[in-house]
Amino acid sequence: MTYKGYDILALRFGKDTIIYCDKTLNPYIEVSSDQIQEVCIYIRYHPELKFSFFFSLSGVDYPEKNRITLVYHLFSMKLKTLCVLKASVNRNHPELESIESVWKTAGWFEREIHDLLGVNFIRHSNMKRLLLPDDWVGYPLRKDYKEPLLYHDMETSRDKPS
Amino acid sequence: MDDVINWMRKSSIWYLLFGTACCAIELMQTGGPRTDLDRIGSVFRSTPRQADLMIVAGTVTYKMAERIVLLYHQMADPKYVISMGSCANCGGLFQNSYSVLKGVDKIIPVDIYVPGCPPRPEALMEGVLAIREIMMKENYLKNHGRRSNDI
Amino acid sequence: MEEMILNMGPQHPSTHGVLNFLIITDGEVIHQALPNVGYLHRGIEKLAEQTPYTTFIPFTDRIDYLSAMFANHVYVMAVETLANIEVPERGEYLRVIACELNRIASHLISTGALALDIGASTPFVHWIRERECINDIMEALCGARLTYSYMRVGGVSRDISQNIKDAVLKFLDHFEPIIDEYNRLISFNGIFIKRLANVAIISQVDAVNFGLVGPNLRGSGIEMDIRRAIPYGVYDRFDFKIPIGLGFQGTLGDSYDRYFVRILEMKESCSIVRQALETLPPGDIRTKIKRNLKIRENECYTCVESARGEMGIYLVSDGSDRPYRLKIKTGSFTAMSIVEKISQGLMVADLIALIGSLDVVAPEIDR
Repeated sequence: MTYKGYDILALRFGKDTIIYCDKTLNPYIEVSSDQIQEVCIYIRYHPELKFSFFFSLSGVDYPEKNRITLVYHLFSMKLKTLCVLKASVNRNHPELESIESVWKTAGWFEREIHDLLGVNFIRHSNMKRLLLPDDWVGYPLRKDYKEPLLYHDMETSRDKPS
Repeated sequence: MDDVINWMRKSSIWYLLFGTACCAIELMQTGGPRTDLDRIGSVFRSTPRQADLMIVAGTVTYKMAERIVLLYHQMADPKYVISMGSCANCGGLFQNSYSVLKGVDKIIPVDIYVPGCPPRPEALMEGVLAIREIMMKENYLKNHGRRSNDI
Repeated sequence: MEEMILNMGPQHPSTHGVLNFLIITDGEVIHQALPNVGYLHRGIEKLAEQTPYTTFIPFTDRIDYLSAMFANHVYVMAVETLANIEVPERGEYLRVIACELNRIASHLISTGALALDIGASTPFVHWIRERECINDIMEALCGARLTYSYMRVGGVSRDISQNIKDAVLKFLDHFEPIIDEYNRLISFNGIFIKRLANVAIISQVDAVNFGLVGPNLRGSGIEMDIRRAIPYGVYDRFDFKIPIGLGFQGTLGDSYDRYFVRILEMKESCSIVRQALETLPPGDIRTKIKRNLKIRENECYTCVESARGEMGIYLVSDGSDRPYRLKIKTGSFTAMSIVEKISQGLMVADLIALIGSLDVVAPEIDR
């Protein structure tokens, strides 16, 4: 995100809730997890910013820091730039406000993160598993996931030929 | 008499259109103009009630496995199964994955395994010709229309 | 009227891959169509955390088997961006040639499959015959017909010989008049137009809200192409138009627009391949890198314009030789999320036209 865009956000939300980090290749903005929905609404509809293209939403598991970080990638045709927002939740009680009301497509990304990482999104219209069967136990993308030995009487491993 | 019945059965094998992943595209190309499955009498059917060969092409996940067993039981006897590609043979590239069934022979009996990733159309054609050879040795009248157990 | 729940199940001739729809209908008009995905979820993102960077490329082929070159391209681009590796010019031009040929091959299957679902079985067989020519060229170039694994971190794996260049030019000379013949056969056919025009209209507001990308977005009239918006590689040296939907035979944003945009894109790809072959520079095709590549702590997001829209990779590295997290974003995932809204009020046969014109492929949704 260009520096001018960051100034507009910091003016509205304050520099302690919006923190700018440029140690990585794409500089990102760290947002506190209770403000994420308002930041998204502001960044989508502001006439100078207009970040209306929602590219992706991913979840990264950091067990040693005891948190799960959600990374939002947005794009603006007006500024021709990519914007990266990050919000972190506690790993033992992962809960976050849903942004399905801002972009409808975020609903499916949030369902996938709930399925694979176990994050609960508040005020989501349909918080159910998406990719795995409904009676699956566990969250596979977490770093400490262990595979079960049997699923519905099917063995989950195969003997390699000796 | 057996030979006539076997010849009639092997000249019109109808296969169930069941492709999950990349091997399904090679299955479609095998039905295309260059390597033509139609010249040996095989056309695709979409319903298991009218098919007598099931070609499992592609990766099988746990979510899909129960549906495959249901489809297999819906086919009428005598029926044959070809397992096409390395994902259906043994799990293939996805050996360490948490949601892939390591080989379709864990849930249904398989007659012919066609290796490859994906197998060339000529390889699949050889698999279907091998099924025809199995069919020539059957003895349907004696077994009341069922498959013999020792072939 | 009584409502019934129909199961358009995972094994169906016209769902493109293994997809399941729960259709709540009263006989012909759909009240709700709920997609049920996950029948091809293979856990590729988790496998990436256990595989070194340079050996992960065959997995990327299987994300979208119809446009495997683009998946290869976006992954090696992400690794090269993080590790600061530069690709020689000849390697970049070969990547463009391979990708645009793959775009033609993918659009052949998608337009042919749409015609097959509507009921016309002849165009599909014609298109399979043309695709065999591209398969032969790809087999000569990289050794495989479908899952190529042609790109490597730092360049491409094999060089192009004079025989292959002649074969590509011969194919393009043969193929461009065939597009016009195909249009006369099916695209301007009255019944085909009646089945697709004014069916399943997606407005511009809906298209952006639901995150559509690629030909689906351009069919609704929005000019957004990653090759122009976030240029990568050497695409800024070529001259090509971006076709958008104009309401060719009906309203703007209907199924016919999305179908015809793909036909026009095939013509543009032919012209890009010709320009690339004319201006191909000499030199190396690949930079030498260490076999055991380790990348320091960093993260990035790269995207390419694949046949189904924007495909992006978010890669997080942590100093070892394996990724810490790899997230793949594909165009079909967002296209599935719009089916629930647009299908209300459609007839069952129009739902088939909608799914065919959106061009979804099951492994892209499930990964």
